[in-house]
Amino acid sequence: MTAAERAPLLQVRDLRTYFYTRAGVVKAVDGVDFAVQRGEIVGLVGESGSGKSNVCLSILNLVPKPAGRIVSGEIVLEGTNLLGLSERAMRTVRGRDVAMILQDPLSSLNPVFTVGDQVGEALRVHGRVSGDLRERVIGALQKVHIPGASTRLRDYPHQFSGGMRQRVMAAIAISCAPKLLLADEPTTALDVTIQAQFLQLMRELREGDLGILYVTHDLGVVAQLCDRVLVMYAGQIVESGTVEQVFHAPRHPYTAALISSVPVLGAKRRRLYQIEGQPPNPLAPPAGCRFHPRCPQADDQCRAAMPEPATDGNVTYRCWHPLNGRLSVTP
Amino acid sequence: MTALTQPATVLAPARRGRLARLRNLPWLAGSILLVVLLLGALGPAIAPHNPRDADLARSLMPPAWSEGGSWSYPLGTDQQGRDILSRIIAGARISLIVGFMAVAVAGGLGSLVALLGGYYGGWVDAVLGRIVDTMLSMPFLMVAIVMAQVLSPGIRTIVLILGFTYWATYARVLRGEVLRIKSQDFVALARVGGCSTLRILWRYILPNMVNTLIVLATLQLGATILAEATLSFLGLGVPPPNAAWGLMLAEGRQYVTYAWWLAVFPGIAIMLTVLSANMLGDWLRVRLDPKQRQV
Repeated sequence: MTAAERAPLLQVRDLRTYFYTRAGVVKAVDGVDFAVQRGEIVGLVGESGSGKSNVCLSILNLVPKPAGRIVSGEIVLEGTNLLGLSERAMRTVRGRDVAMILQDPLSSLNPVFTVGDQVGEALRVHGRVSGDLRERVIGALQKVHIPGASTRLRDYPHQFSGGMRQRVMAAIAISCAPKLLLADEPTTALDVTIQAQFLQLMRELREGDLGILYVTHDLGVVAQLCDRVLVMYAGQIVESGTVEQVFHAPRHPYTAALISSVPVLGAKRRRLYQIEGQPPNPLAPPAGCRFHPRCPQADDQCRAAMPEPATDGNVTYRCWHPLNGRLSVTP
Repeated sequence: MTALTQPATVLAPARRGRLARLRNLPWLAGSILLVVLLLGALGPAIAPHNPRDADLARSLMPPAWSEGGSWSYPLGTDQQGRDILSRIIAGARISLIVGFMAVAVAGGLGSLVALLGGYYGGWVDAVLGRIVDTMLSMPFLMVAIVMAQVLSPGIRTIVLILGFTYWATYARVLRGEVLRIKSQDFVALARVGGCSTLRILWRYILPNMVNTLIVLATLQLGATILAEATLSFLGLGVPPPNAAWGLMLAEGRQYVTYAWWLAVFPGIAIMLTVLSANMLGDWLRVRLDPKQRQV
């Protein structure tokens, strides 16, 4: 194994994506570091507005301009810093090396073209039509388990169910054999059985060398699917590690609180845990640790400064008072 | 409870089969437009006489069924003895050419402005939007009169005038469509998939707004034909001795008290054509709207 193969597929370092609005600067992503290995599924969890989607958009360099800007950082995909590429070069990366799946299966397909046409579109855009385009399209549709792929490619999106449309979107995403797949809450709009099938599909897709960054706010999905998990709060990653460690022994009070607020089937009936307060105002995040106004064990140190990441075994966290493997959060 | 006293709208079960589908076509509007199209296309080949063939000896002959009429001039003759039917047939060609070309110019320009403004937004949209506002607030006839004075008369001038005065309507309506389509995920995914802006406009936005464009263009076809007739009536349109419907109306005006057929027959031709275009447009609007269509 050479050094290049051992290096992670995607390495994000100190990514900062800011939005310059009339009301002030919103630090949507504020100093984020993480890596995705080949064949690994990394979960990215956090509340709405915590910056999950902006991480994805930053990787593709598609942050809405002119308000949004990537202020600093490095996004290295297989040794190439994507932020250093020209728009033209970036266009060949998008869809070919990095693909994306979105949440809403209803509006994610172009209603006026057939499904086969749209799966072939990615291949045509990137000029990867070696051999028979039709065969490639059928192959992609079969890979995502669409029954009767060879006849269904003449159908239009409205003739597919929500789950099937989500599969078509996955087929489009993988048609050019990307190295990295960004999945932005792809199962949120699906019902539970269809969701389970889709997660199975994700597991199959990573069998190759595909790395997947799976954005969600569903901890159950993370537990079932992911190898590692990143927990985001107010634009920062507050805890990361293997799913097993983070879920069984969270170090950051926010992670612990998130896990405690998920209802458990068969558990004794009691009031669900809830995190006090509101997510911080993105225009004026609190000083120090951004979670301190809602944290039951915050003290003066927490109010003064944001702790630097600390690593303990497979877990990295940013907290002055890490929990010691206990799930309950008490002051 | 007032809402409940309204009779419930019973949706007829969707009739299947070729026959049912045929029955739902706009037969009246379609056949009138088809006749006008055929007249325009075949023109001189089926006209009984040369539309410019004047003979004062047979001027102001009434229609064939009136006293003094003759079946060789079914709709009578005008003040110069030219056959009205042949002139209406010749006028159909002018109306259609002007109508279709003006709609194409206006629709093309309007779509382009809508795509640019709607897709890019920001200052591009602001500038284009103000131009559209200005165009929509200008009195059509004033612009047309000025342009007709500056440019030399002829079909090309009329097409330019009508195209120039009508594009803003398309731009206004279609811009909203572009905004709606642009915000959908499949456009975002096209970006993510590495499509260039040109490709997104051409393959993702344009095909999705084509329905609206077709409906609008059909409805505008009637308005455009009417506008051409207005311009010709005012002497700003197709110059004589051409046989434009509006021109025939203008020439027949002074004889209308004792030779009504000079003005009435071209008037009916204008009315039927515009009415059919509007009916077809209405039908298309329902047919192409997925919400109103019952598959």
